[in-house]
Amino acid sequence: MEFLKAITTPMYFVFGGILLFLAYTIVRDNPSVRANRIAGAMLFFAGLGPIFMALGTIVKPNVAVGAPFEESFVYNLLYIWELFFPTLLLFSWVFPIDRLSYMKWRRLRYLIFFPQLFHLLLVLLFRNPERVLHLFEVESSGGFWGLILEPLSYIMKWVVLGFSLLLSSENALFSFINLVYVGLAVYYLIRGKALIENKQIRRQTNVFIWGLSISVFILTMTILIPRLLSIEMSPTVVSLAVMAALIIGGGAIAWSIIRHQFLDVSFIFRQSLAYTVTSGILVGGYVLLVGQMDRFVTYLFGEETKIVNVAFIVLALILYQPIMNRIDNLIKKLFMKTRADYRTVLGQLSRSMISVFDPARVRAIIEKTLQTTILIQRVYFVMYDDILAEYVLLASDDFPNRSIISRDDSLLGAIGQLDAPEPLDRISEYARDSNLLLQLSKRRVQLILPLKDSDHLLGFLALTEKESGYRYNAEDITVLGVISNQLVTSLTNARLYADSLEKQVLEEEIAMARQIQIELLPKKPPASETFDLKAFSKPSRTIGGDFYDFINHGNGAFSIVIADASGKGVPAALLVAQIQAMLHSEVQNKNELSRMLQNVNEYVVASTSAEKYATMFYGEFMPQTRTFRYSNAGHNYPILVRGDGSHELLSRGGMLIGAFPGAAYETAEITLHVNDLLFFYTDGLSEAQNEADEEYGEDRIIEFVINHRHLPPQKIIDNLVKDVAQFDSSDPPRDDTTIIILKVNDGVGNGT
Amino acid sequence: MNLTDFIKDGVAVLQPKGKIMGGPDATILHEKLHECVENGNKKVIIDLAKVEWMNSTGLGILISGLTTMRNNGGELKLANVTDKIQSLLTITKLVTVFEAHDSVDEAIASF
Repeated sequence: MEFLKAITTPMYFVFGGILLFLAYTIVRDNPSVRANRIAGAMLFFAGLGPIFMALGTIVKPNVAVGAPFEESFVYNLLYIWELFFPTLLLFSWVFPIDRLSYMKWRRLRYLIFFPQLFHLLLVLLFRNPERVLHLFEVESSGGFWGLILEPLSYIMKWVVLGFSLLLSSENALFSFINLVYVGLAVYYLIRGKALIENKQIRRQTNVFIWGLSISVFILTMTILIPRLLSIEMSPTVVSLAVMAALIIGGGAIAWSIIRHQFLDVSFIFRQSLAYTVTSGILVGGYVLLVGQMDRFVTYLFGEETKIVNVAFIVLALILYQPIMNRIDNLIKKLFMKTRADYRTVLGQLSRSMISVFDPARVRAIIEKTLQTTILIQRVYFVMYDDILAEYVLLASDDFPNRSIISRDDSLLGAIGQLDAPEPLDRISEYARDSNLLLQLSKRRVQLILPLKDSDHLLGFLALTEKESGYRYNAEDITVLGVISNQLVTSLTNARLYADSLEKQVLEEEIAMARQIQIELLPKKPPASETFDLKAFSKPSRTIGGDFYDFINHGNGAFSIVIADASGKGVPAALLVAQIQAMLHSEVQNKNELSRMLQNVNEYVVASTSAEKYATMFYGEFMPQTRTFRYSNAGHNYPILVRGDGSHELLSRGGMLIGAFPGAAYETAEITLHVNDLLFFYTDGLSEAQNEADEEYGEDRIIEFVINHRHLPPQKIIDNLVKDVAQFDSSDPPRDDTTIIILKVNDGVGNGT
Repeated sequence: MNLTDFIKDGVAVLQPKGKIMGGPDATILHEKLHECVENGNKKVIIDLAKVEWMNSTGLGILISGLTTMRNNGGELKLANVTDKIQSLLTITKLVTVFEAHDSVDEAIASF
């Protein structure tokens, strides 16, 4: 028995102390919140229980004189702790969501305290009815007063006796009432839990409800039910049961309240808790051990000595710090390393976001973090959209349509001025006729969290109220500020990464397009004594859709094709490849020229989208007759320069290839003479630009070719390319440049 | 490219400004034309007065725009075609499919 007491007494002290301390901290954290006040009161009364019990075990042996301690006024004060039950009921109405304001009979809520107060009064006044009865003893003095007082004292005697009778079954009755209270509290907690969606709070409430239910069950089985049925229980069993109930119930309550209310169990709180627990253990140990040891030492030496006392104090002084550190670590482990602790959260957040480069993932992580730690109901994002060049309120589960925010929205302007999180109602004072404000109010947004990269507003987070309905406190605001900085960094990184990735993809694509283009171009132009054919092609950095080809007809005749497909890179190269393959098969099928282009056009129209097209010039040269038949499908007009310096443009033909179905292609035929030349080019040449944004232009090209017509084709090309390079110094050129020159010789070396 | 638009006499007028090139320009113009079709605006004019320059992709955007409108039973006309774009339309023979007018009002009157 003594051994059991040695353990239970300090434990009662510690648990009582913790509960009292929790009560104090919760109320201090925010006395203006009802839930805090009620939780504080509840824990205060809950803490009184074990404290009184511990006091009972310590004080009792020393109260040797006079009445037994059990009957003393102080001991009966123990029943104050029963007020725990009504406060628990009250608490079940405000936790996890404060529902008290919606209750019909909320003004009568304090009536629930009546039974326990009545019990306290009953115990304090009537446990020793003789003492009270004595007060009503009236001497039979007769006269007027006697006439009134005598019947009164008679009535009072009966009342007191009635109460005394009630007192005999007091334990059973009030145990039953308290049991009902607990049942109701559990019922309301479960109903409250059903109202919340947030998984984190649900889990916390579950811990709370289970802890409470288990401890109440234990107490019911070992104390309340035996009392109801007047069964004697072994004190050891009762002590152990109370201990277990305290550990489970108190622990669950402390756990969930700390995690729910004090997401940041601050340093001071932790330290104080460690002090309380350590002191509790040491004081309890002192009270129990020193008395016993003293007696033992006295027995041993046969003389009373204070050595144990002093030794224990010295030992306590030595052990205090290490014990406290151990307990501090234990508390840290129990409470601090939870997902809900801000420092843990921030650490994890920065770790998990450092490797995420997808803005949508970053947003998802932030949303989840805010919902599980600060327990925010919903998070809405407004982000600057690079493509739209507008701020956009992104879609969410409950509002599936995103909406674009006008650039001159007054609220957006006000948010741009913010540097830290700010409640919406404080900013909205300055916003007039704001559609954004309307949208945010619809979503019941309370807090705005600006995301700023230096002075540039990347967007902002709009947070609704916290799941619990409690307001945002200073700690929340600070942490949200840190989180928003983290988010800005991550989003900036994500953007940089996307840019570099895009660049890499683009470069790979360019390399592939260049490869395709090179392989499509003829290795060597046809050669003969009677003509000189030269080609030049220089791709731009991004690879346009230029291409040229010479298709041999087998009878000495050949086709000259020069084309420019729309777009750039691989798509353009593929379109070119398609057209080229088509032309080769058309030539093999010996289709008529206009028919050929029609077929190619229909094919490309059918196989690609409307914005994919190519301008193309197609001509067939017959060296024997020096005739050139052609059709121009929307391409830059090739230039025919005669030996005498006159020129004409080859414009006859039809619509560019691949845009519209049903296009028809006219053909024309020219006859060439010795020293005549045909000059073909793509717009990369004519659209070369100087610094004044002037284009090289068709006229300059014509003039240049006419002036250099006596030179061999390769020389003309070299000089022209040089001339254009002087005009437009951008390197590589803005667009692909392709040049083909066909010059007719007399076949005996008399040409140029 | 920036795009503003308004409705005049039941005709949707789109006014691109700047350079019409590839990428987002195509998306923006495309979405706008689809919006016109969805709203039942089958007469659309693209006012090119403020267009400085157009590359091959830009031209492709106009072509697909015309195709989109025609496929939906609508029509797309051009107004204020600059000399540069006019010559581009001439060379490519697109003048035969694009109806071009000297002013927006003239284009509206032509419907």
